[in-house]
Amino acid sequence: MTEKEFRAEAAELVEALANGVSALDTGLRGGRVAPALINDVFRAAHSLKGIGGLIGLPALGHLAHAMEDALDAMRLGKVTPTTGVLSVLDEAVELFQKLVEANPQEAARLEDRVNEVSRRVGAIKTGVEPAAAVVARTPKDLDLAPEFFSVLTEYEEHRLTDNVAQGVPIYLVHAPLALDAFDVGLGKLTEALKSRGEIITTLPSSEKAPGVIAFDLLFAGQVAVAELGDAVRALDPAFTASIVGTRPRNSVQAPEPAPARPAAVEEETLVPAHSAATPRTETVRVDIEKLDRLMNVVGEIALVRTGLGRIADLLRVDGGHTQPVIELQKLARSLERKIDELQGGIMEVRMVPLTQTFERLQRIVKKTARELAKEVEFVVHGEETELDKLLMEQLVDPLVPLVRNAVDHGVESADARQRAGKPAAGRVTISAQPRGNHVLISVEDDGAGLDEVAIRKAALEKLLVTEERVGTLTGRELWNLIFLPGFSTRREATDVSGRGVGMDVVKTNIARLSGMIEIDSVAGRGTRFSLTVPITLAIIQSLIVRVRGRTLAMPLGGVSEILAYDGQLLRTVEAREVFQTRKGTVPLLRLGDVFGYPGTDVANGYVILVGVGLNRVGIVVDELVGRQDIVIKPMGRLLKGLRGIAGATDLGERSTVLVLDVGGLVEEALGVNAAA
Amino acid sequence: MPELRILVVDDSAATRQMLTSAVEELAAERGREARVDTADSGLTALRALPSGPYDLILTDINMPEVHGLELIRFVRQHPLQKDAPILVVSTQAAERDRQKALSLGATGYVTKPVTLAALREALTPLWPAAAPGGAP
Ligand SMILES: Nc1ncnc2c1ncn2[C@@H]1O[C@H](COP(=O)(O)OP(=O)(O)O)[C@@H](O)[C@H]1O
Ligand SMILES: [Mg+2]
Repeated sequence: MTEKEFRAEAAELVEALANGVSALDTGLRGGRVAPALINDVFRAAHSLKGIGGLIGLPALGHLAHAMEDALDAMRLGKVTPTTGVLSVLDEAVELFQKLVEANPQEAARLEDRVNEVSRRVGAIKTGVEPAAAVVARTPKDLDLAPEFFSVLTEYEEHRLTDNVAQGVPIYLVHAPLALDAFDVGLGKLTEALKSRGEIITTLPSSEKAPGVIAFDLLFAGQVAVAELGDAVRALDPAFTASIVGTRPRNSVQAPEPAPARPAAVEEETLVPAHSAATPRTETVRVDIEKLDRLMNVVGEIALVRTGLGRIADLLRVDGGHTQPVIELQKLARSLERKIDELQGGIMEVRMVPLTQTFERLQRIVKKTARELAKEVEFVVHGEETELDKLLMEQLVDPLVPLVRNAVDHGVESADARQRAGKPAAGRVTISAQPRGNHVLISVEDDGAGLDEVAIRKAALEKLLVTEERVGTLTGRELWNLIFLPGFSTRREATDVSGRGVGMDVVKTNIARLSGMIEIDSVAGRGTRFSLTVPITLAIIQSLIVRVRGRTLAMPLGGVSEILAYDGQLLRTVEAREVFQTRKGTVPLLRLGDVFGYPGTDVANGYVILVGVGLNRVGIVVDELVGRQDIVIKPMGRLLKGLRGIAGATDLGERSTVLVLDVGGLVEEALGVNAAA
Repeated sequence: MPELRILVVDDSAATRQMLTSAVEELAAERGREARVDTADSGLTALRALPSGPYDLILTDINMPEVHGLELIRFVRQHPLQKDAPILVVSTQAAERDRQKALSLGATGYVTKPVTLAALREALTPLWPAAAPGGAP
């Protein structure tokens, strides 16, 4: 290698260092600095140090050394990166950039500056005292072979401790591979694992069989063991993944320190004799499927309870207030309370915060912005809001197109923004708010808003609406066209958009979750998509109604009010029935007509108001049977794809009824029915 | 006299280059020819090992994926290689890692930045000036 080549490598390293430091900065502003990132920067500094001496630039080596120490302290968690720390690192990066290009005379002139900056960089590692890390759980609790601990570097140990302390599950992935071609297999495995969490170490060991090398990867990730197992087996049937359990502790260790008491008394009276030998673990991991089964059983118990209540009511009507009947009613009520508690308890176990999902979206926003060369700021609110784990997984799919579209279609180019008097950087905001049994999630951009002219044009071209109809479409009706499959205002498909599948995916997915989606858009100001989803999929509170002799279940989530039907309040506007309420008129939807049930609705029925804001619709029913918690069952082949139906449920007494898809019905009433 | 087979493992090309010239020179001082293989990561080193046995392995600790400590452990398990002297060439920052390297069976430790003199000193006990054992 010639000196020129060394210089080239040094310049490359300086560049890597610069990128790394700027990524740290972004991470810091985003509230989280990925440990792997610090390690990368550390490694760049480390290599740079080695080269300094080789290219006759000891000053460069000197500065790199200080930098390496500082980053080492950071990656080991001894120093927390702050904006102050990063500004010092920035200065160093700038100096590196000058140094790699300097000739010996220029380098000599920079020496004072190098010394000064090196001193300040060097102070980073001493400036901040080690964060008083009170680690509740340590890797020593892990049931790992001692040989693992003997090969972990200090950094890896730190990463392990950190993950364990945060309660991240630790897995051992075993991968036997052919010695002459292990790169490919290991590469794939590494990639698959990295997308799910953090690889702490990759330990090779010679297998008994010749020509085979085995790798044991220690992996930290918030995934279920079954999922991880499937993922690695999909790569190679010989791969296995097992969770690293915790070693039972041998002493009594309460999770929280007990209040101080006189020691003598405590020893004699409070510690049972056998307790010293009783192992205690503080957490268990449960397969979500098991919780699902439990939840279903609870749902079924709830049905039994409803049946009991009904019998008690009947007895009471028939036989009056006899003591046993009153007793039975009381028991049924207290059973109901206990079932509620049980459901609440199981639900709580399943809840996880949105944090990880939002982080993922943030990466997607960044990536999309990079692809499109736009500057976009991502703002997150309410990431601590909790949702059912299973639902969370299904929520990601519809959120991805929303954030991508916000960056692509929403946020304008920097030029256009400046002309419009907006800051050059666009802003995409995602926020979550708990609303009782539902969560409201909104994705908002401060871009150009929906382009109504382009939407009209695209709709006409694709024959989604007729020429005469297109003129009469207003605001929301027009906006709703973007949900149609294949609808796009882009002429040409790019990597990011133009195929018109995004919003279609959003809508079908949200409907599947019994959720609702609403658009708000102001030209030149931006667009907001508001999603309302239930916090769990398992149990849905619903209203049991009767329409023209049929029984149906309507999830209560979308219901805002129930009014008595009154023919006097009925109007007909443009051939549509509307109903007068205190808050204005709403379009009426007759379920009997939607599903083609023969007969007419009774005159003394009810109007159930569903939807929010301008998206309200009144659904006409004959009779309200009652409220009931239902477990939605997947639909049989026959019913699949039936508009306005979300599934079926078992109401007990062997009667199965259909569950309405309120979101779909609202759309049916308000939206445009693709009229060609 | 047979040539000395040496494996240099480091993720920096510059360091590999430097270490290669250094060991070649040190071998020459002993009137020996050196044949040096290099690996840019612990993983690449795993693949090089079966072509050994090596008379000396020089390795960095901090490398992505399979790092120095893991490599040392692997070498010590390896039927063909388990007796090869291993010299760790790494930073002083990681005092604990150095301890571990030694307890895993590393033969010596040289702190970066490396000088020829330091390498020579570390290699002296490993490469007796006299003709190595077994030579006629
Ligand atoms: N945030 C947004 N701002 C402005 N227009 C949007 C936004 N999101 C979606 N759109 C409009 O909705 C249309 C459909 O979006 P989508 O189904 O994702 O298809 P595609 O992105 O392939 O065009 C887009 O072509 C665009 O006109
Ligand atoms: Mg799109």
